[in-house]
Amino acid sequence: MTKRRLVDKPSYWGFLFVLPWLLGFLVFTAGPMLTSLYLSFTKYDLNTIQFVGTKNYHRLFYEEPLFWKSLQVTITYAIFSVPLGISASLGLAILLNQKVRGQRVFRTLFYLPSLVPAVASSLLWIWIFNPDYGLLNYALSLFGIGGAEWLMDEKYTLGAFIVMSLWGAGGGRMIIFLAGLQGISDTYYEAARLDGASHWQQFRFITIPQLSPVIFFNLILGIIGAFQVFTTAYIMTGGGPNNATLFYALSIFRNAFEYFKLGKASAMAWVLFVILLIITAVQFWGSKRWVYYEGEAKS
Amino acid sequence: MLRGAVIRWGLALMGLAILVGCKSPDDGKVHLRYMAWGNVEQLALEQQLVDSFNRQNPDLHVELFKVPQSAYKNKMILMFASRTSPDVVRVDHYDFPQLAERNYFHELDEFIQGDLEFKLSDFFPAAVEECKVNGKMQGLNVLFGGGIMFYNKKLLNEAGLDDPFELYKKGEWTYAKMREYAIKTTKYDKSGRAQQFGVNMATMPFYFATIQAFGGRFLNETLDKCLLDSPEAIEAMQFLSDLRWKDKCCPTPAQGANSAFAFETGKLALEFNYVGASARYRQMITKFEWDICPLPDGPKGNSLFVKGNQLIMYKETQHPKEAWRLMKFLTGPEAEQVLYVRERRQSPSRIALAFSDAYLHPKTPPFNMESVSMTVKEGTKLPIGPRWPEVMQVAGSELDNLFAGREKNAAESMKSTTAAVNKLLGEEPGF
Amino acid sequence: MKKLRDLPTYVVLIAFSSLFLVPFLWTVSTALHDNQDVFKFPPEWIPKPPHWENFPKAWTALPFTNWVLNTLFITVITTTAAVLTSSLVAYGFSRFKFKGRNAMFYTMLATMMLPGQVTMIPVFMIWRWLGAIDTFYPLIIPSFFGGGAFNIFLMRQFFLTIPREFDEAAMLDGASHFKIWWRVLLPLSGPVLATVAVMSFISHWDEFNGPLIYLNSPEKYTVSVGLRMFQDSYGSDMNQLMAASLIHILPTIVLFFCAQRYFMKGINLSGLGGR
Repeated sequence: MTKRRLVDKPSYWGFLFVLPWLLGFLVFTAGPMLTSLYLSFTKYDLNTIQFVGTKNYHRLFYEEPLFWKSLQVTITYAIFSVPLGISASLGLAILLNQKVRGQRVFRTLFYLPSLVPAVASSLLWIWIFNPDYGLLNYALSLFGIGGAEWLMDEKYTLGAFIVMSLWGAGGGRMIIFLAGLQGISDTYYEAARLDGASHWQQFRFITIPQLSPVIFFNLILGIIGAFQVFTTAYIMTGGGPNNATLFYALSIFRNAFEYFKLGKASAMAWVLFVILLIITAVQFWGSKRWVYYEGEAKS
Repeated sequence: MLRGAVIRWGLALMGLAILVGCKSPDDGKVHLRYMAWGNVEQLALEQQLVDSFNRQNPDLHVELFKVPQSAYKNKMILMFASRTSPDVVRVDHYDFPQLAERNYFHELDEFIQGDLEFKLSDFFPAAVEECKVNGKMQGLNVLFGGGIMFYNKKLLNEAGLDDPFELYKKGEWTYAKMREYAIKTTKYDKSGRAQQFGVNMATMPFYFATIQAFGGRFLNETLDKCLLDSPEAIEAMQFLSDLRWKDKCCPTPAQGANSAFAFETGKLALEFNYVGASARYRQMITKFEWDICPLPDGPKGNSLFVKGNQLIMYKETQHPKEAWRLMKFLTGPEAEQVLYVRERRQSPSRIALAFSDAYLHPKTPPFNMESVSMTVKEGTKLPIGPRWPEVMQVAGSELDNLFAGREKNAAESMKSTTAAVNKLLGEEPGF
Repeated sequence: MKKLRDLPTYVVLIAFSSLFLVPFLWTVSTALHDNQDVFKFPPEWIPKPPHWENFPKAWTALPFTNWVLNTLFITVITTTAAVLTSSLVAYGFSRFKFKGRNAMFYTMLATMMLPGQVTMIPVFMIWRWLGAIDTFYPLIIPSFFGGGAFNIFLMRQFFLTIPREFDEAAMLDGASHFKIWWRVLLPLSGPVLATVAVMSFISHWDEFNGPLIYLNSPEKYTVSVGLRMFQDSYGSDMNQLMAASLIHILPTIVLFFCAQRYFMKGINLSGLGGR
């Protein structure tokens, strides 16, 4: 009882610590967000603003096949890239957490791909996916497998983007997992080994639960990130071929900064906002069953 | 301990504030801001011109904002929309009508009429026409040019073909001839891998030129109806598609990706491009001779077209008179001498200079500069209106099916393109 | 005996390393090529002769040294600010109960869900109103307000895994809340602090859009803006772009390599007992 009074007592201290964020939010974020919400009910061509009610939304839902297409592209991408990416990052993190010599070098090598700037790495991938003299088809041909026109055939382009996203599996997400693995005390594993637990059992009953807050973080942020993919599509395919890589964020960008339809772009952004809000809320609700916090403030 | 840290940070922050705080220089001069895009060399040229202007005008100081081309429009839009635009901005003509419709540009007629040194009749009519919005001048043309063709003399000689520029002078440089040249200069090795190609694909806006030569058009006069489904346009597009998929003398998107058959590699005989590319070619091409000629003639006329860029004055500039002096300088004789005669970035927009001895007879390639001067003199203006970016996104995405070989029948492709563009043009703008 | 047991681990490590390394090596290879030979087939991994001069040529083609200093200045300040303030805010969110906490926390998450493109103009207007266009302020100041939702959320997740017994022990010793944050939580969070620092450093080091829109004077540019100048519509100088990119990422590679000392310092339970 004493403990709880000491730590969990409602206090202005918490508010004080959160204050920097709150100030920043009020000054730099809240206004622009509300502005864009308002703009989504207007026709704003970057010169004049005209209130049009829900017309932007109505047109998106009922008269804009490209809106549904870009939503479909983005959701498909997220469904594949997020679970694959998270598993790959976790696997790599566990691999890099093995106590063998030279890990510093290996970690750096694994992280390298995320360091290459997007301009350079996009050019790199255009070359890798080139059907005639790209690395991928060349490597496949060594195994006697016929390649494909990766970025030019609408059947494969999205797949190519998912493969590309995996190349970054050794990036930030893996580092976060690695940091999370550091927090798991060796005593758990030692005890488990004494009880004769297998590697899989250790992974399943110690690593996963102990890492669950971090997995949860990567899942939430992974989905948000997947829904906002922009740069690679903008540079590499421009949304083609045949709109097969018309990612949602690319579509928003075009409407806003190429067609000057800020109202429509804002409406699209708020539709995405609501979708992400629902997905995230569901995840938070579900997280109570599987995410385990050691130091949670219990109410 | 922590308080100490907080105080230290506070001091550091204040120091930072002093360090980066922008102090506006008070030197008694009028400060102008000018924004342009370019690669390393182009921006160095612009800086030279600005420096020269600053030397000649001690009462003014111009600062050049150098912006990478790939992100230029994004930055420009933000500056216009937030009313923080530089006083003088270079605008690509593809974006010019769209931006003009939003009232961002200052009308220039008052300056032009009040300036005895400045005569619109000095300029090519098409260069003036591009700058007009509802009959009023809202820009001055810079980097004005037209589509031309580069050719690799070595590859044509090896195939025993006559010089295309000589053919042009005899009136024999036609699309049929070009196709023959392209087929004869294309080579595959025994395994079927391409070694060299005859011609590159006519990308936007070059396929409009081909359509024009076959007697078709992309849009009608009022820019509200697509005319690509006419038999002439279909014939032209079928011709281009066949170069790639039937004659196989033009690299496919896969073969052409990563500049594998770029002109400067010496593995492409004929290339649709602008003379602006020649700056790069002079620097990079060491292993073969090359030159330029006009675009070929078609069954129903020539395929000459022009496309420029505009210098505009920001509507809310504080210094319109000074901005006009800068604009006049940047389109004036000294700048045109540097940009076009010396560096051949594009064609001069002044008729006299484009036909001057210095421009027509340079000491370095390309030598057939008359091709450029003829093109800008006779070329037609592209049908660019305020909705151009949208129109081209829709049309480009449809036409891509033809060029990428997913649809090999031009009639089918033109039908769907026309329908898509007309649907877009029929919709209420802005949604 | 131990070495033999590690063998499979090494095999897998080396296999993955080469997978990640091959494309990187291509970048190096491209940087060493003559621009005309960049796309030879079959690919020529080590060009003859290697054009080492591409590196100094690319670097001096533009005032990169000036731009590196700008980038470094911005990055160091933002990274420090992000680490400190995000941990402070996360401490508030994870260790205290107060009115509106959950509402604020979920609002913070929600700020990440609206694509930045539609708030770009209003945000720009705020900085314009503050008179901060063409200064480093818009690139630096936001980091002082919690360092972004991503970092706060990440820190919070980690703080929640640290048992509260540590705070409580310190509190019984009479430590203030600030002291608990500084003396208990931060020392226990080495890996996540290093993670936030490295990720924040790299994202600011590569940041393109902010410098593009807020900086006008060329002497204030950052490296990422300069890198784009190697591309234009008549073709890109691939070799120079790659050479400059490699010089650009070199500091981040070194930083990452060195930062690993901190990644690996996790909770040391036995050491804490003595505090």
